[in-house]
Amino acid sequence: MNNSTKLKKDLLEEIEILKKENKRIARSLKLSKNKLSKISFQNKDILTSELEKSKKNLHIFLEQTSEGVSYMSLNPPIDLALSIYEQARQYIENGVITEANQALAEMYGLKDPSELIGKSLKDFWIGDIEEMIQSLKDWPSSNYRLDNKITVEKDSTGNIHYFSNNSIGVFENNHLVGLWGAQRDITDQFLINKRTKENEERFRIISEQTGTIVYDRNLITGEIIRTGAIKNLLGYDPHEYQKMSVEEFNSLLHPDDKYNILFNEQLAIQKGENFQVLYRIKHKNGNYIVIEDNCFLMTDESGKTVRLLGSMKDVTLQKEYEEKIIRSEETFRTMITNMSDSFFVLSAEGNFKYLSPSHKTLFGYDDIELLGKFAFDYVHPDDKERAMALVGSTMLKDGARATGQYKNKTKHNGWRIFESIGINLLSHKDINGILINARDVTEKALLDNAVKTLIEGTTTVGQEFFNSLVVELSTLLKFKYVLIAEEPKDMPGILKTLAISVNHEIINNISYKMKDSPCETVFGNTIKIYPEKIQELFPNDLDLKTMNAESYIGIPINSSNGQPIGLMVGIDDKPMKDISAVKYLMTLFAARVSSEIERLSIVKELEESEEKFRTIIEQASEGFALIDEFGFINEWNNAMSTFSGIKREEAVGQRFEDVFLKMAPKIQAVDIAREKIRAAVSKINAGEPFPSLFKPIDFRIDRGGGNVFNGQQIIFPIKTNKGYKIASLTRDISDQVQSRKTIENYVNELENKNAELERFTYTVSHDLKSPVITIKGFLGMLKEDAKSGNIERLESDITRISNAADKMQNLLEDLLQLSRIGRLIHPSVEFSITSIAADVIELLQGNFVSLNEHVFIESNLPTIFADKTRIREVVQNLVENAIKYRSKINKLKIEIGSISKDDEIVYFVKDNGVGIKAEYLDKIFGLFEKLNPLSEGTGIGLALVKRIIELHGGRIWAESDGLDKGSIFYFTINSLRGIS
Amino acid sequence: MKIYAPTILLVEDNEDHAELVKRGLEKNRIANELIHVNDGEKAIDYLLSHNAPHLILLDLRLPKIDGLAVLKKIKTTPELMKIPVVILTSSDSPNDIESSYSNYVNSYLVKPIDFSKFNRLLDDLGYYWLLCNKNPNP
Repeated sequence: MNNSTKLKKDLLEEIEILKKENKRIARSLKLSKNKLSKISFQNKDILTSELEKSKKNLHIFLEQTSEGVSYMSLNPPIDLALSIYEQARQYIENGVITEANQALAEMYGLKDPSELIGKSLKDFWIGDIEEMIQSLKDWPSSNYRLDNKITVEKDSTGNIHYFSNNSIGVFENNHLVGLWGAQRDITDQFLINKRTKENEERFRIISEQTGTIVYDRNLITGEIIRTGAIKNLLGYDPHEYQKMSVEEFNSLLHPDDKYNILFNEQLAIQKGENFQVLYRIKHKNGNYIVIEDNCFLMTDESGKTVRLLGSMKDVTLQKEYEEKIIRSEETFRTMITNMSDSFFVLSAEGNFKYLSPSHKTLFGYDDIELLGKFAFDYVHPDDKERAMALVGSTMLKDGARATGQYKNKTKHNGWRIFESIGINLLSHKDINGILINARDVTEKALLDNAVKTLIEGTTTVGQEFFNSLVVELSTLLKFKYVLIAEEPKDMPGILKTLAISVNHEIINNISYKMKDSPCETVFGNTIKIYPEKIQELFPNDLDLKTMNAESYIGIPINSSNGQPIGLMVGIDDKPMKDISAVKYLMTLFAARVSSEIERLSIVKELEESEEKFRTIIEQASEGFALIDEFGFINEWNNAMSTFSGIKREEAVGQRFEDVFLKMAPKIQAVDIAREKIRAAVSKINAGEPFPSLFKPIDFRIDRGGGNVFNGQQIIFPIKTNKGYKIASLTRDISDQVQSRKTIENYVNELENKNAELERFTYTVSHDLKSPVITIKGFLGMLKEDAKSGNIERLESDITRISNAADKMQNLLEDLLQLSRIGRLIHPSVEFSITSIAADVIELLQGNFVSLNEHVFIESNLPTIFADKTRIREVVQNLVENAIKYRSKINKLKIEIGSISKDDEIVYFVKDNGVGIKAEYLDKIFGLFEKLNPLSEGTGIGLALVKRIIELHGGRIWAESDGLDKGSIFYFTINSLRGIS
Repeated sequence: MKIYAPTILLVEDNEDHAELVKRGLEKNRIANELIHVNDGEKAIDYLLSHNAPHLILLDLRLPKIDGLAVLKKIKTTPELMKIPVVILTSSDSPNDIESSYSNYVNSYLVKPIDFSKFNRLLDDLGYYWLLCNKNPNP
């Protein structure tokens, strides 16, 4: 019983296939259509995937995936030591969704994943909780994984869904803390399976109740086995019926059905397709009964049909028998008519021997007109010989088959194209001739031809495609006007043509308003055909009048996500004929146009993003170079040109080694970079993976003339659509290096200052200690002096003590003065050193015999902005020193003036005194430094002067040609700054 | 018992301090002879043109050439390097002490001189002389 059930099921499928045969033309057209759209969609796919590549990340994956993904968090976590019952109970009780994607939300009828957050299992589960707990009993043994577990749940609107669930547990410290889950909605699939099973069951019951004959016919041996309800059906005893040959059996068939069956059978065998057929057969009692015969073909390994398995069912006794037979005849007739199929039998001589009823529909002749006539006389002279040769070729062998396409003369429709299949059945007792099936394929051939032309003529892309498409369509469909138009995003209500042809020639693109035009009815809507009188339908469309339009076809063009983009229109000045072909072709190409427009927009987007990339690269402050797997430079941006001094056009297309060598032949870091790139390039060539990140390399290029470039280079692989390349990013770190240096300078200065301060402290303490030591020492001596009665030494020792005390007081006063310099600030004023020099000389004039003779002050020294009192102290100190260290040989001479050096005014006080040894030129500015220990003063003078000058942002130094050669003290004042 | 009665070169710019040293040495009968110069330049001139003293008492803060430079000069000049040098200064700056010792000074005394300590120092230096020159008192 099972076998027969399966057979029936197979036969049922067979029926479906045969029914599909009905729509053969439609299908083949659809195939061409698919093929066509594939051509353009492939392009689009590549482009899209390129775009997608850059967008890829987990988030997008989650949102893109059709699976509903969620994370159910368990708070508190479930202790795995608990019983499985308790674990399951806690899971159901405490599990809360904390993450969900869009797909999951949609499965539950929600708009946004956020609506799922915080929901628990109980919100969706149908049925009682115990049942759910029980269903989790295998949890621990499956390591807390669920594989394709089917659940029945309700969504937010109460609809029932079947889900296939996969989940995996997340653990921490022997506790289950959550579960990642992915689920698919299998509601449809589930229901279909369920229904299929129900159908099978029903079929089994029915077949048990109704008598059926099952046959198995071996085409190789001719053996035939028949079993089943033979007696019931045909009145024959099974053994009686079993003995019947095929021919005997065929003789029982109703004459009108004989050829139908034979043809279907032969055709099915030739095609290797299962078939169903209804026919009348003579019962033993002489009455015809109606049989539904489902035949299943069995093939051998080579695909050749070797057996026919079939079931015959009596449908006569069924209540609707009458209807059914009529319907089946109708179906059959409709099928033949729709398929434009007809069959006839030719004698061995080529004369019409039998004609099927559909013949007349196809050819228009009555049977009497044709029977006995030479068939090839009705074939177009161009095809006649070929047709005869083909039929002749089948003569050689029993069952041989030939297929061909010819033009045949019809009675009313002129020449039409037929596809014919001939089978040699000369040895067949009943047929004894060549069985020919002919099918009118005129429309199909025309369309195929048109499509072929169109495809060949429109393999171009972009504007060229639109242009050639409108021209080809206008030629093929004989439209005066064909246009493709889109609605620009910034101009709603306006249509702008992408291409327009008039009398098969491209004209300049135009724009027009959608309102009141037939296009308004098409855009964003459906295909519209106005076969005639279009102007009457759209009286306000003046363009139609201008074009003298009579008929119109418009087809909307939508994007792949259903958004209206534009439309494709054909207009003619004559009524439209052959509407279906026009409609078909327009539809066919609308899809192509849509994908082309989309492709163009993607290309544009891609170009824009490439442009953006290029702009960014060009504008980047970082040097960017791209090196391909052969070691050639592909990219070299502006910054790179600036850094390296090598222009883009000198670099791109060159080997990186040559360019790097040119860039900096002797820089070690560049050598390292070169080595790394060379290694990376050879790894790429060897197909090996290479380190994805290299350590940054610091380098320095001295271009001479103080032009130093400090750079840092990073080399890394970059994945492009043409495989891996090597990218090099170079940063200018000159500023960093510079600021590092500045900081180092500050640190040095600070250290110097600290050291100076320390020195100062010790100097002060040392110099202050000195008199104390003297005083203490000689106080000790006084006792001895008194004891020994040495009055003279006593007095000299007292003098020493007194002097030391005085010295100490002087020192303290000097120190006080020094410390005041930084604190007591006189406001800066404008004055000239000429005037203060004159003041000083006047003050000290007692030291000079004649001022004119000894002192020279440069008149009109530049005005400076400074602390006048302090600067006067400087000049006074320097002049006093000149007097103090005057030569014993030469007459004192002092010169005060200025020189200009490196855009700076340098003032000087020059004397002709004792001079200073070169090694002491710096030391003299130190605190309490004296070159002659016996000279007057504490040695603070020049330290004071230096401090004043430094506070004015200036410098002071001394020059001397040596002893008795005089000395010059130079100083500068930053007069803009004033005292700081 | 003194090991030797040395000839001492005192380099001191402060006359009063020099006088105090001189009197201390006399009172304690330490020096055989005391030569006094008042700046670093004179000290080096003296050392390069006279018989080597047995001991140099050297101030750090000196006009023209400071004590540390004089010390360096002595300790890097082969004919002079064996002469013991004692720094005699009022500075107890760690910097001064450290740089003196790193320039091979033999001892460092902070003013005023404690002559009992100074005596012990001279004993030690006597041994130093024995070790270096065999004949501390030619």
